[in-house]
Amino acid sequence: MSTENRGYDIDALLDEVVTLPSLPSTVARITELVNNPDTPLSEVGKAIASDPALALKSLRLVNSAYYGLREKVSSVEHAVVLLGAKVIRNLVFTASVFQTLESAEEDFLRHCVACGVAMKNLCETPGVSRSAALTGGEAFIFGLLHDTGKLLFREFLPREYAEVAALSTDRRVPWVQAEKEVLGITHADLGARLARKWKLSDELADAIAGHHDVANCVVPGHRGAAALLGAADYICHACGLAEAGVVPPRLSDEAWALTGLDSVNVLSALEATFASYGSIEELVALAA
Amino acid sequence: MGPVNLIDGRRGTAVLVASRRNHKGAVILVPRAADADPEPVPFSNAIELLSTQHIIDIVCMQERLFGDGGLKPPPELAQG
Repeated sequence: MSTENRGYDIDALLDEVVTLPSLPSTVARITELVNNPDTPLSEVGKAIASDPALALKSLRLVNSAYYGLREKVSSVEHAVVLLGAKVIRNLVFTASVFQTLESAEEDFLRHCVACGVAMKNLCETPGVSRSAALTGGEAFIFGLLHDTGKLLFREFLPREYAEVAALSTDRRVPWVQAEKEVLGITHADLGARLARKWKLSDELADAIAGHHDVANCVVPGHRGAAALLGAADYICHACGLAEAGVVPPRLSDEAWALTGLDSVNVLSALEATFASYGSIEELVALAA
Repeated sequence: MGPVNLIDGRRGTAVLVASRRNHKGAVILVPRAADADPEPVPFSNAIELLSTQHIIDIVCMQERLFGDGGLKPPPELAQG
C-alpha cells in the first residue's frame, strides 16, 4: 500500500486541527488545593464532593483491590483523611481520566490501566533507576496517560489514523513508526503536549514524549522515567494486555540500560504484574 | 517459542513446555561446537545469557500459555 506523509508540524496541527481538551475544572481545583500545604484536608473533601459523578467514581476506585484498604470507605471526606491529600489527588485524577476514557475501546482502556499498574510495579522494584518523585501512585498516572495522544489522533484525524493502523498491520512495523511515516509526528509528541497543557509534572510530560525514544525528552535527567515507561509498555504487550493487532514497540539498548532492570529484578517486577491482573480487570470494569 | 539472541553473540532457541513452577518448564537450546546437538539449559540457569527484553518475552509467554493468573494466550495459540 502507498501512504502519503502529511509531515504535520505539531504546532500547526495544534493551531488548526487538534484542540487539546482542558483539565476538568474540579480536578484543576483539587490539584491547586493539594499543592498548597496550608489547605485543610476538609477543603479537599468538599471540592471532590462538589462533583457528584467524580466523587462516586473516586469512591468506587478507593474501594477497589488496587488500593488494598481493609475497611470500606463510604465518603470522600473519609477517603481524604485515610489516604492523605497527595494520594487523593492521584485518585481523583485517575477517576477523571477514567471518565474521559469511558468511550474508548475496552482494549485500549485495558492497555492504559495495565501500563499504569506495570509502571507502578517497576517503580517499586529494588534496583530500578527512578527519581525520588516517582513513587508508585505517581507512576500509575504515567502509565495511565502514556497513550492519550492516540485518543486525540483518533478523534481529530480518523482517516489518517486508519492509514496508520493499516500500515502498521500490513508491514508489521511498530505503531509509532507508522505514525511517523503517515503523519510525521507521533502520539508520544501529542500526549506530551497535553500533559504540559494540563500543567502535569515536566518528568511526566517528558516520559510520555520519550517512551518510544528517550532522545525525545527535553530534560536528559528524565530519560530514566521515559525508559521505565517504555519498559512498562513493552511488558503489557508481552502479556497480551494491548490493543489487538498492534505490533509490539521496540526499546533501544540505551533505554533498557537506563531502566536499571537486570536478570534478577525484572523477574520480581513481572511477578508483581502477573499478580495484579485481577486488579487491572477490576479497574477496567470501573472505568468502562 | 523461537530464536533468542544470547548476549555472548550466539543464537539459541527458547522452548516452552510447562509453567514457571516447573524448573524445566522453559528451556533454552544453547548451541555447542559444530556438529554437536544444542545443549538444553533450564531457563533459570540460562538467564545470565539473556537480555532483559528476551527474559520478559519468555516469562510473559510462559505465563500466558501455562500460568493460572488469567492472562490470555496469543490468539493464534488459543485454539486447540
